[in-house]
Amino acid sequence: MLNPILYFKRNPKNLILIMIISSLAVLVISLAVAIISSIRLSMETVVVNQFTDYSAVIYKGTDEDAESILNDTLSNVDLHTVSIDYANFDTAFGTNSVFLYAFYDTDTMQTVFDYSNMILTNGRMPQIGCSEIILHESILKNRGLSIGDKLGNKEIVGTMNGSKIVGYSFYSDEEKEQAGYLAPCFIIVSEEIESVRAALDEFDKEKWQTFTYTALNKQLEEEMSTLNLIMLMIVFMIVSCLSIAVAALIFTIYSGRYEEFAILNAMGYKKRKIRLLVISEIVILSLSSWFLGYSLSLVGMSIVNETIYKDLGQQMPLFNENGFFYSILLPFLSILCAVLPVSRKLSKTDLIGIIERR
Amino acid sequence: MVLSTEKLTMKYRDGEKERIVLRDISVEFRDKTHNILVGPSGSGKSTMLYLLSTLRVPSAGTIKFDGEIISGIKNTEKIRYEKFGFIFQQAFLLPYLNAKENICMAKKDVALSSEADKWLERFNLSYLTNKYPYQMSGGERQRIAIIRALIKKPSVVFADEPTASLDHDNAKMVFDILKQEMAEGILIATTHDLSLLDGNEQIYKIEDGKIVKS
Repeated sequence: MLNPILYFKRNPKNLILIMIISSLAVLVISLAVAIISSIRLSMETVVVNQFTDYSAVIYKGTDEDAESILNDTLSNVDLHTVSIDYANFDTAFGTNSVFLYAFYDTDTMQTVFDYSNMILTNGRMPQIGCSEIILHESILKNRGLSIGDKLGNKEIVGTMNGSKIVGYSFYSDEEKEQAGYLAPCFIIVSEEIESVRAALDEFDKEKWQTFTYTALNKQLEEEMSTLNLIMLMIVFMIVSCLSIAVAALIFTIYSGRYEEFAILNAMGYKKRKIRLLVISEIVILSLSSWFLGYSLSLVGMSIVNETIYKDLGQQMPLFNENGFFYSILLPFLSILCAVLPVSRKLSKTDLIGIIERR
Repeated sequence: MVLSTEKLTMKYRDGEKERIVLRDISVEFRDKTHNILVGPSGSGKSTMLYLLSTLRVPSAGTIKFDGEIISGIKNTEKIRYEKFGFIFQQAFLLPYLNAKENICMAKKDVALSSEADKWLERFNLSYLTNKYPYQMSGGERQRIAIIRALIKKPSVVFADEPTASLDHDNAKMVFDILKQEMAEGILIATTHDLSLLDGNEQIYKIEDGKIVKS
């Protein structure tokens, strides 16, 4: 007859109060973690993932024949080097960072375009001397631009799609000078991509600026680790405070139920059985609240993703291991914080005394 | 079936002083007897019931049920659950359970549900089946508590002023049912209202910590 669902089913006010607080807490934690994770995902997509198929290197030394030096240095690897005019992050004319490539000629642009497995989705490729640019679709979405619009002094003439969030253009001498990069830049394509990455990562950083998947990924991890640590501390503080708040609420509700436990004990129900009922109730309540909160957060994230992120050309990871882990900490801590004092009070309380005093 | 005590003593610490409520009480309650404990307020009637029903542990002495010591042992819940029924001065119904569910809390037994309907009918309380304690009067709640104590067919029923919240007619009816249901078992009750008795009961007077059969 002891039913762990019955009390809260018959006391919906208490049920709703705890469920709202707990599920909102889970919702906030899941959403916060998802937003921070989306920053990492965006950085990874924009910065790191474009170097999955090739690597890039800029020569900052003074020797004139940089390409020969590069080929000599990587002589033990079978590679194909494409010399381009300019490759770097650019604040894209005052807006968010985008990796922009500038080329000497249309053939090289087409070669890199093909290496990158990009697809022209609208318009056409830029022409030399026309101050034109082609951008990844998501960059246009992110900035609310379309073909024909101007980005800085360049006219957008086409959109492309693919795994690399980049822009291709031809820079005039004036623009190159403004960008501050006149040094030769190379894109290195090789079947032995791991060997190339390993070799490039060992290059003298004084003379070479290298862009490899491994080095950029490591750099991103290092940068994100600080953010992750801050996030972890904030989440733990929020989870701890909310767990204690939820536990205090549960404790208050149970403080009003000792007469009920007393009569059960008097009727012959063991304290152990009553304690088990209490624990079952708290566990079911906490996990149900978590499930509700987590489901709401998934729905919330889908809505945010569809209505905001997609329009900005970004994406929010719907399932996130950290979000799941941090959110499920809440019910576990709540259970721990609630069960221990309630259970202890139940053990210490003279239940029969409650009946006697009445 | 015998419920007996031997040199049963119960002391309370009241601040610095020690107060002896019951002193060296040796008494036997046999089956097919209806035993009424009488005495002034604070004389120890309720304490006697709490001790006999294992709800409290005596300071000294022993209580035996069918020859086995039941005082001061572990797991007294088992005997309360299986053999004893208790009716308190207040109904102590679980507020979130309806009348029938409260009655069925007496024991985990699937047959209890249909049994509960019969008892409710017998007490003219069928209309309360799905009502919650806050929807009942004090008397109705107490009668539900009485059914809860009786439905599991206990060997001994302890009733501490069971009719205190009932009017005379209802109190008389409840007392008659109690005696009728416990015709084969042991009924030990306390009451101030001697008009409810029919003369067939064993009366025990508790005074100054002693018990005297009258």
